[in-house]
Amino acid sequence: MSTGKDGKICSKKADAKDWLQEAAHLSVYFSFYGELLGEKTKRIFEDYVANDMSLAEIAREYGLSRQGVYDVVKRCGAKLYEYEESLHLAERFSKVEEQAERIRSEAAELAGALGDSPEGESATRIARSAEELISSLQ
Amino acid sequence: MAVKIRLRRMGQKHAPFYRVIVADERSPRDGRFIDEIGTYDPTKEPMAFRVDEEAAKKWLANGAQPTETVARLFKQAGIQK
Repeated sequence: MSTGKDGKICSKKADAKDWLQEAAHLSVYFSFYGELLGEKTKRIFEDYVANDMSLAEIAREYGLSRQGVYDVVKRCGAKLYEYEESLHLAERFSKVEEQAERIRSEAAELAGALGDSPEGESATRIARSAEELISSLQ
Repeated sequence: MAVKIRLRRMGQKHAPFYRVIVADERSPRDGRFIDEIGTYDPTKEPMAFRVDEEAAKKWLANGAQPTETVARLFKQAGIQK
């Protein structure tokens, strides 16, 4: 389920860890930029990354050749990388999410330490706002 | 009936999270499955892969075919037939 940066599908011999990492990136990029792909190519790529179908299975399903599916997947992978390189949405998203999570956990800790005081209540509100921010990101 | 071990994506939009399932090869996305044997979260660092090793071995021994991704996850986790 993996294509390299240049859109080349990683060879079967590629290190399992690299291959999986690559696949994880593509899956995240797809969630951000998938809508920019054409309707049919989007469905094919989705079957590939989200439903974990093989090229042969997808080919059978859509009445395409395995090579045809390979080309679509390869092209989509390269496009997704290109979008991320220009827009960095996935990278920014994970940074914001990480920071919001840090705010949430520190505010929650603070709220615990401050107890029922007005300061404690305000820390609780901060934690709740951070939590809302995190869920609104999804 | 050929049986496959494959990932099925769950989780929120931008946070992929997968279940490792055993299903008929003809139902890759209709939601039906025979067994659920683990989970995989690629967003964690290092990635979090949890699987019921006994069940995985049992299915492999019974001829279930892992997808390429699952085969790689198994390999990393040291699971072989």
